[in-house]
Amino acid sequence: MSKLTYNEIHEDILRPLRPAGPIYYAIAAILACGATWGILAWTYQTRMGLGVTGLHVPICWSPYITNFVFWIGIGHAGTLISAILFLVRSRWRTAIARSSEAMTVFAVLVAAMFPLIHLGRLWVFYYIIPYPSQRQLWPNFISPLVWDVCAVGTYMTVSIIFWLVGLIPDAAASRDNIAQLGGISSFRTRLYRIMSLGWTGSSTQWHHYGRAYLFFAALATPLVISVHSIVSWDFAMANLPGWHTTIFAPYFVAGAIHSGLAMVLVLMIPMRRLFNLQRLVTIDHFEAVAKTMIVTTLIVGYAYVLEPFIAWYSGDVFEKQFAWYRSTGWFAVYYWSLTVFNVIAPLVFLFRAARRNIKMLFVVGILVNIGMWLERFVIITGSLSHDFMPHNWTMYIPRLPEISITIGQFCLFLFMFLLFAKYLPTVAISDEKELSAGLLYAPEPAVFISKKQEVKIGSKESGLLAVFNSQGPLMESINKIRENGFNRLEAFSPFRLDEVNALLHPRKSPVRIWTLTGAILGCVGGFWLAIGSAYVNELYTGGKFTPATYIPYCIVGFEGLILIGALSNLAGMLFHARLGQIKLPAGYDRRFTRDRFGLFIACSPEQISNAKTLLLSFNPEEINVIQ
Amino acid sequence: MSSSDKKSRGIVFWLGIIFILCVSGWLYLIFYGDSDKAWRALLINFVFFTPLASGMIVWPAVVTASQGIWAKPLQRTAFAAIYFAPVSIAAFIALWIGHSHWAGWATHPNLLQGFWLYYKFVFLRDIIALVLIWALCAAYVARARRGAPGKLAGWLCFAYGVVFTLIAFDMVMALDPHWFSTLFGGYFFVSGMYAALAAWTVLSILSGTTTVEHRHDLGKLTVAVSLLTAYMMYSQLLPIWYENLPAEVRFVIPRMTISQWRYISAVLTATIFLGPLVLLVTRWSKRSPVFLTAVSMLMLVCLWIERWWEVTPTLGGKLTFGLTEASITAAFVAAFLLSVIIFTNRQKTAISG
Repeated sequence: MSKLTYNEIHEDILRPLRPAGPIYYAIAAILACGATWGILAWTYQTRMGLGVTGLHVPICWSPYITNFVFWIGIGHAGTLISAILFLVRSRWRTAIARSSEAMTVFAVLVAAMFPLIHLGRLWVFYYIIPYPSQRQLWPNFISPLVWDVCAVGTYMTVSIIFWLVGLIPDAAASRDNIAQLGGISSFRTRLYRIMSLGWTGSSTQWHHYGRAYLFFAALATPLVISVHSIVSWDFAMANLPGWHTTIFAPYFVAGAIHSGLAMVLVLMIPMRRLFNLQRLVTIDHFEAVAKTMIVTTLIVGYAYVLEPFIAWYSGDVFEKQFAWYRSTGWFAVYYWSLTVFNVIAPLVFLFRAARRNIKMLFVVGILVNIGMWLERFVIITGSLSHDFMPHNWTMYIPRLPEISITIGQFCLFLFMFLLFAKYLPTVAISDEKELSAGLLYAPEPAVFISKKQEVKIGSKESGLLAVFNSQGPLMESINKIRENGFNRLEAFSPFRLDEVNALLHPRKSPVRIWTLTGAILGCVGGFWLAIGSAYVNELYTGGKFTPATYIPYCIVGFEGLILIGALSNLAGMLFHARLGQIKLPAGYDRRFTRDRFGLFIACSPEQISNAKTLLLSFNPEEINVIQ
Repeated sequence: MSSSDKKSRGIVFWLGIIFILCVSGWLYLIFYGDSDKAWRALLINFVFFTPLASGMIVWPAVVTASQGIWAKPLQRTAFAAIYFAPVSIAAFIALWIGHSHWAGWATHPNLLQGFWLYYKFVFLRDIIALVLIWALCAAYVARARRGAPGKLAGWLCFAYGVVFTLIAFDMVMALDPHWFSTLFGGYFFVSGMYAALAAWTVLSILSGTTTVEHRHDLGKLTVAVSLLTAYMMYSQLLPIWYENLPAEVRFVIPRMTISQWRYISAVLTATIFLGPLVLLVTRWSKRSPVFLTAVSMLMLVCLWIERWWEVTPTLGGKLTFGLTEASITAAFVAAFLLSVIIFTNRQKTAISG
């Protein structure tokens, strides 16, 4: 946990936003070149056709779908850290949550490119979007590929929203910081002003924001599990040796979190050094990641043991021969490498010395990422190259286009992450300050009273605005002032103060009604879309009259629930927290996003003297008369 | 002797009487009734109560391993399940003795799995696994009571998963040796943890050790574990339903389409899989001791039905609940409560001493 002052936290996190040095530009240039090379290769492939790659029948899914699955998996750790650990009130998540969320967003964006790359003729991409039946196209909601579109689309939307919503208070802090350094009309100030949506840090905003963020986390948690499960069902629904197994869904989810956590180590270790974040992102955080990786290692190892065991137990000749082939044939070197990288290497984290050794953490992170990529490659390519019919058995040798695109995607991902690290706060400022809350409780007695003209703090009322240098006097003053008949109060703080919210907003935020309504409508809408399409198209799939079943349509209903629930949650938060106003109130004080706390008391000019007397007993730094 | 001690001794006495009567009744049915059904009932209760009781000790270990501290005041209630170990092992030995009545694979000459389902090997490895998990539970209880669980918490969680995967494969999945599901072990131990959580919640509330915050946490955990269990079930069901392969659907069809068991499937979906999400959605419902107890009791009953639903259709049993099932189930309930009460009384004596 950070033991820094609010101001130190503020400075440490926002310092990287200042102009970059030559090392940063050099790295960015190399990555940009790599990404450009990948894009050129994609352009070449699009022009010439997929024949220029090593793909051939029956290996039609190889590196591109491997990359797709790999990047979707990488995204999972971000949601684990930001949503799941938020729900279980794990404190170590704070320092790495924001970067992990960014990693999720960039990973999903990169992943979303691969179905298009794999499509070859990317101008017909709209064929994969489930839209109402027309032009002889019948969207079939029993197809795992359509589930994929629903799931990845929902995941991308919700991840981006979740990340941007989490950034609102930090964007406001950046806005106020950069405005002081670079002026209010600079590009960055404008960018942060748009991203912060008029955030002032008022208790009303924190009240609705806190509730909405909780619901985002609650919606993102099952979503993240569903997404990789659905990706795994792209394979598990096919009757192919090595693919059709019931354990695939949890196995893929555990593997995804495993690789995502490894990527967190790979990204955060250099970033921490490059941007001097050692005081905030400590070895304790990496140790916590390493400990979590032990859990995922054991789950992945459990699946690795059970897969060949059940292949043998089933007595199925095809499954048995494939399990044997995978471990002794052409793929053996990859198979055993991935086993060592994913299961054996991370077990060094059982030792505390390894968990606290930066080099070891970084190396194991790299190995696990290689191992997880290989795992997807072996699953996808292995099964396709060795199916039921021996005359179909073949190999896959990659060619320059797919090698270039694969290298390019890594460069693109790292480039986007580098841009993020330079332009946006990499650590959640408000959360870090919340963690440090209570360390500062030393009000300075210097009080001066000033008059500000034409000031409006969220309302058009006159009153007093007291500025405190810690949250303690703010909370104490609220009770006292309310006892004396002043009931129209508004507090301002750089982070969420639950006690203040409880005092000023005793009623639950109505955002929950928005979310629940949206979730129910989304679920019903998802079922309606899937069942309705099936009835219209009268599809019989796999010998089953699909409209009559509910089993596969649960996926569409679930994704609808999450998507519409999250969008409603966002709408409810924006509406009730009055966010979306780019222009700030005229009397807004920039210090409220840094390290100061404010209390606005709405009162008539005759009551000002009485309110001022009450406030003085709490030693505010300033009292401003608002007229 | 205080009045509470007298009351406690009275309860122990009557539970002991119930236990003896029920076991006697069950033995009578073994010899003079439908013995296959009686052995089946023993199996159902073994696969319900053993993961439940050991899972109650694993839950505090899960919380400790994830660096949580909220469950410490409730630990003692959970640890009471350690006294159930002898009952669990005795039930397993009984199942070994009567294996020819329920384990079709034991007498099947040409199974694909060969030595793996040779009955001596099956029971030997399972009893080793069972003793291992109970020994780890006992070691964890001893260490946790000294305040230093250390790394054992993590290892206990892992061992629980491995041991009950093995038990699930051998005691339930192998009932039909031609059926297989890679995820069945995972589903089995997660649903065992679900039952353990429900039992822990009920006992903690009844023993008066919970605060409002504890109940809120237990309620949220119940919702999370119910959804995880539902996810594990759905993850199995969907690929099996989709492919429609004869070797796989043989588990699903009797439970979902052609027999009365399909009604049980619907009830289970509405209760253990989706029930807590609806029943415990509000803050009040999670904090109310009466309501949370009622929901947890409902989940316990339905999770027992779920084990019944797992075992009976495979063995050709009908959807009837009679004296055979009632007698041995009541004996297990009595034995479980006796373990909890005796452990708690000894703790009180040790503390007062």
